[in-house]
Amino acid sequence: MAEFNETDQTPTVDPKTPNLGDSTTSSQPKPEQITTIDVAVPIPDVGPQLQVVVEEFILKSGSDDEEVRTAATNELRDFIEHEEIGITTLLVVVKYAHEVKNVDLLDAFCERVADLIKDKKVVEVREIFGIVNDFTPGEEQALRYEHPWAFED
Amino acid sequence: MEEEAIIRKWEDLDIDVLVKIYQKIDIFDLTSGVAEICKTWHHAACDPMLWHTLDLSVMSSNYIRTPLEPYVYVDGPSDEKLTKILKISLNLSRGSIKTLIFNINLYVHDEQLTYTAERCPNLKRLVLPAWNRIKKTGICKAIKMWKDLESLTMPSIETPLYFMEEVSKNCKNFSELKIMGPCDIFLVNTLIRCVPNLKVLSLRCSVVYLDALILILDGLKKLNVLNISHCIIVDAPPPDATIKVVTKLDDSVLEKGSRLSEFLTCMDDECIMCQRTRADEGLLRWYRYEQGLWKQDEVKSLAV
Repeated sequence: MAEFNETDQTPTVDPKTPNLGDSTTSSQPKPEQITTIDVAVPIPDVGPQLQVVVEEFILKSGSDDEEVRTAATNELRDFIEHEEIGITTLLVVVKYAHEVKNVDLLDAFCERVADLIKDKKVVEVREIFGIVNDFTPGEEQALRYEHPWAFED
Repeated sequence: MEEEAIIRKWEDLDIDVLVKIYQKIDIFDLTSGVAEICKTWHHAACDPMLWHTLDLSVMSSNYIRTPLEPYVYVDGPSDEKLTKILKISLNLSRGSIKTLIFNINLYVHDEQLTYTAERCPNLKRLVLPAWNRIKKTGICKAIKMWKDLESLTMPSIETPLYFMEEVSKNCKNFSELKIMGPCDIFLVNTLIRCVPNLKVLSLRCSVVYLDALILILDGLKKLNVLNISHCIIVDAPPPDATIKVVTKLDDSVLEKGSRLSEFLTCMDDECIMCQRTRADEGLLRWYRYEQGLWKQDEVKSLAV
């Protein structure tokens, strides 16, 4: 699977990035900001657009206002639905969300992964995710013996 | 490219994350090959978190009603489909299943039931509303394997004694019962004899005889919750008197009922469920109404 990472190698000058900078320099979250400790962990290269979306989401998801959080989730889901996120990038952002323990962020992207799995055959899923089958022929045979229907076309 | 060194593969994804993803796919997708992708994905598919509850109320049998017992005929492919899903689910679940739910029109047969019982020995709650194709031997064999069973939803059966005796012998923690069908004095006597420690009983949307109701309130000493919502209460005095439908429970019954922590009744002409129970003469034809209606219960622990 030739999926080239769609990262922009040059650093971006992004008006929102200063927030990231702020929280990495201070160890205590400032009370007047809605910065969460999460943003202290830098987001890996996921492309400038997605980076902005994720950063914004993390900030808003830390809000005390439920409406703000709900709106943020809806915005994120909208973005995920309408923008093509490459499979490699998806892996990066899923791992990141897990690492920073942002439940809502992880949830939104796991939903996307689930959508990619639904109604697909084994070989199709392997192709989409670039997964190598590491079952030995013997092991596969055992699985097949138990439920041959999984391999029906 | 540098990125390739940093890029980790989907095979190496944390099990927790994979489980989270699997929680978002339905049982059909979960059993149609996700576990065959690679070893880590297989490992994640066996995670107990995914298998506390196996809810097959999303499956129906492809069936026709027949005039003779068992009153339904289920076609071959439909049976095979259920067998497949059961085999894979029970394989992946590795004994984690605590709650098992079958649909009202999913007509399980003996072999499927026994196969299932053997592979979920830790079952605590069973919802099995359709016993048409299940024989006495089949259900007794299954019950023997469910020592931890606490809660059961079942149809009403003609001679409940043989079955409740097995429950009594095998299921020491049995405390919650929902019967989807008529309740008479014989049934209640059976319950008092076999499951005297019953805490929760739901008989909603059926015919309940008044003498049976009184006996429930007097005889099931450990009962906390009784649901007779939308039931047709029938007073059947000695043979020469006519059968009367009770429209209002009298004070003595209400007084007994007040000793329970929850005594749920609904006998309201305006209530749609009461109307339907009457229209169907006490044996609700669930297939006529909204899908999933049968799952409701005023008792939270019995709702599906």
